[in-house]
Amino acid sequence: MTARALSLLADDDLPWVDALTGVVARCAGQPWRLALEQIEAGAWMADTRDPRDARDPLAAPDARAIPARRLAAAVNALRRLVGGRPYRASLARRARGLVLGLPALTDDARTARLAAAGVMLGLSARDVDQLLWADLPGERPIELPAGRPPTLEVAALANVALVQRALRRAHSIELRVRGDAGPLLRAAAARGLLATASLASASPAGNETVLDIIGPLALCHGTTVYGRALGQLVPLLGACRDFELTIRAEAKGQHYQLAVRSPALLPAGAPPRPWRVIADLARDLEARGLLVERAPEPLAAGPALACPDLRIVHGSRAIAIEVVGFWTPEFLARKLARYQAVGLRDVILCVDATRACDDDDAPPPGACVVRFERRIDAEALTQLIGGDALALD
Amino acid sequence: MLDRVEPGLAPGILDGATWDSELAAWRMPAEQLSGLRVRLADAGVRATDEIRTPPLDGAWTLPPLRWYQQAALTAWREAGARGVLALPTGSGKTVAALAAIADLSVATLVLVPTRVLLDQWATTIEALGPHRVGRLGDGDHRVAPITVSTYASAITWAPRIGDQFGLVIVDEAHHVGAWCPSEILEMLVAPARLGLTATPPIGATAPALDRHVGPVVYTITVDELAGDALAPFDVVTVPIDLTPVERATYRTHRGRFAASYGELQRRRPGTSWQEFVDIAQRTASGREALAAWRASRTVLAYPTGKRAALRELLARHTGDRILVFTADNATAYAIARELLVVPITKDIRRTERAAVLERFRSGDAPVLVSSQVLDEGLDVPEAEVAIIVGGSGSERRHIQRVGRVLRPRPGKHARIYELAVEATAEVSTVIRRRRGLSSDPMEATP
Repeated sequence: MTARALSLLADDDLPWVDALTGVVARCAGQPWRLALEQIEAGAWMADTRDPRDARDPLAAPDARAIPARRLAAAVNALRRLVGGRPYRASLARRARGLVLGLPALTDDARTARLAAAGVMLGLSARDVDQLLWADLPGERPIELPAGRPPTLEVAALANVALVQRALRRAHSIELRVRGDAGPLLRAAAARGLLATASLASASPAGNETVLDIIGPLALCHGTTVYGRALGQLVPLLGACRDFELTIRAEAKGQHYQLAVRSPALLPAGAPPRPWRVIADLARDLEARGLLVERAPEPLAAGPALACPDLRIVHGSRAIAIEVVGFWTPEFLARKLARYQAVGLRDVILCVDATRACDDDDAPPPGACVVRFERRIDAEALTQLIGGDALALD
Repeated sequence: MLDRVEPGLAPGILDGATWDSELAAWRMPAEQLSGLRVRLADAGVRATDEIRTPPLDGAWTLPPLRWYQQAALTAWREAGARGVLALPTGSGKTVAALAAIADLSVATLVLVPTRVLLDQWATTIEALGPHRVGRLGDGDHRVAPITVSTYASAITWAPRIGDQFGLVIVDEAHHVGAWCPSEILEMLVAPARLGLTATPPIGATAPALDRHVGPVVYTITVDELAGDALAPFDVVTVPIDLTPVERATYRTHRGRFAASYGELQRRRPGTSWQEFVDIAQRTASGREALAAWRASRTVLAYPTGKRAALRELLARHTGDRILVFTADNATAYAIARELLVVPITKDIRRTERAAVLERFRSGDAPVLVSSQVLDEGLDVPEAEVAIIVGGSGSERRHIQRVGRVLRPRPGKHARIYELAVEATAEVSTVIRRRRGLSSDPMEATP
């Protein structure tokens, strides 16, 4: 099955994204609904219209017609940029509770009720009127605190959403990164993704890392949460100089492959925040007198890569600790096999008990697996490290 | 499991089955189990059958069935415990379904479209029956011999629990094949199937319902039950005129739309609305035609005349519980803001919605305005007046809306007001949607 390129916004799309942004900017201070109505009415598309298109509903399709999916992604990007958050939600709910009730059939009755509510809320009647639906997605006002958003930023955010949408239908993902893959590897680990890293055996560009990630559709549980976590990788792709993302997905019973390659119009995402559970564990282990190496170098043997989060030196032994978020028994077994392949036998996997993704949540036999919720029990781990029953069979 | 495949096994006995080489077994949709059992038994094939749906114990405290509920259940049993009951909203579909569960005394899965209905069904079953009810959806993951599940949760759960139920009840069964995917029903072994709807489908989804649940085995219309199991009601059409400015705006937009739409119909007679939309979206002039159509509808949604009529009707029914239906959310919010009444839309969260419904019941907030949420699924038995400010021509949607105010109560006489702007497309819309209320199409004319 050949991979079809995922249709993303590119330079050709920037004129209509700019016109669209203009529509929203002109509605500043008004409810989102009004902007959406104007977008739907389509008058703003006149600037992007082909002048040869006669007033004929049967004319040949406009070559510059905006694909609905890309348009929806751009609109959503704008909503996120200039007013996506609920505005004074609890106050708005209180105002509704005070104001709405018996029908106010005269202007005087209406004004009096708003004023009475205003007294209770410490606001003017006009403010109460403005506030009534301020928390609802379509009714909250458009705000431009930083001015009109840049067209490129809107397009890049729209592309993030399009890739994330494709990832939600994925069975598996292959991400090839040439150059520094560190931020992506750390981000995948920090989000607890079911990801396996390896080095490409024969890459002409050299230094190519392959990240095989299980997609949400391959899981039994937590598919939405996992899909969201997976989607958080996408903003980081903008910072990759050279990458190739292949998404094997399914929709309506049909299997297909989508590809996204650099250069793509994506935002340069901020570097991932480290997973706090790991930092807490390192600190707790050090407090118990153990020598802890944070973020040790990945270990490679052939194409196999093992990426422990911590390395503990205990006497003559070096013990690798990897913290795993989402997991299945099969995924843990594959991970342990990688450690064996790189010659490391003392390995502890700490797995998030709340993120088991299979009906069968028994760890693979012979593995040293510690379950945790929110925080890893450093005391139990210290005792385990002090024992001698860690080595992989 | 077949003990052994007999040489010369009767052809057709494994109809619908495919060979799975990975499992080295025949596979077929779970819903075909009962048919397979019959075929195997008829052919005298020895088989090990490990699927056992547990029986239900305990006594129900159901209210006596009304005559049409009894007749509906009899028709369903005579159809082999498969089929759809088409009963109007408010006529007691739930009670009829519970009687079916009590009658068959077999583990039952109830499929519902929304979380609100999930809660309503579970509460009713627990109130009238001896069983703790399982819930799948809205954050609950508990399976019990009687389980209520939203369609969305059933998609995930059906592969795991599909062998545990002998009866499946599909509420709002007109959604089968669309909102309620057929795959859910394919994954359930339950031979007994009961669909409940006020509006059996006649379009593309009708075959899916027929195949997976069964045919419509009993139908009764609103007007056949009015004054008996439903409150008697009047439908009053309120003619509305546009102001000269509104009329001119409407004509401009409508004319622009009609030019494109008429041209298409002239060149391709019989083109459906959806086909027109698909074609129009591909060209700038087509998009302009669609924009003009939307603008013409905006003029009709809530013009000056409807504002005045709505105020007058609300004043006339002071003290009554009133539902106001609009064509879109924008109009619902406009009315709510203007008259300071409570809107119920998809944006209003569940807790606030529950509080609002409680205020409606108590009379503290006696008017609710909504475009869609009140159409289906919310139980507001106190409502006695419906004012339809705007809507589509869908018979189904109209029946659901009208049904909201027909739940009987001693002395209740429901009133349904339809506001229709004269000499516009809205008049034909009103005529179209009203056909579903009556068994006599001639009564539909306003």
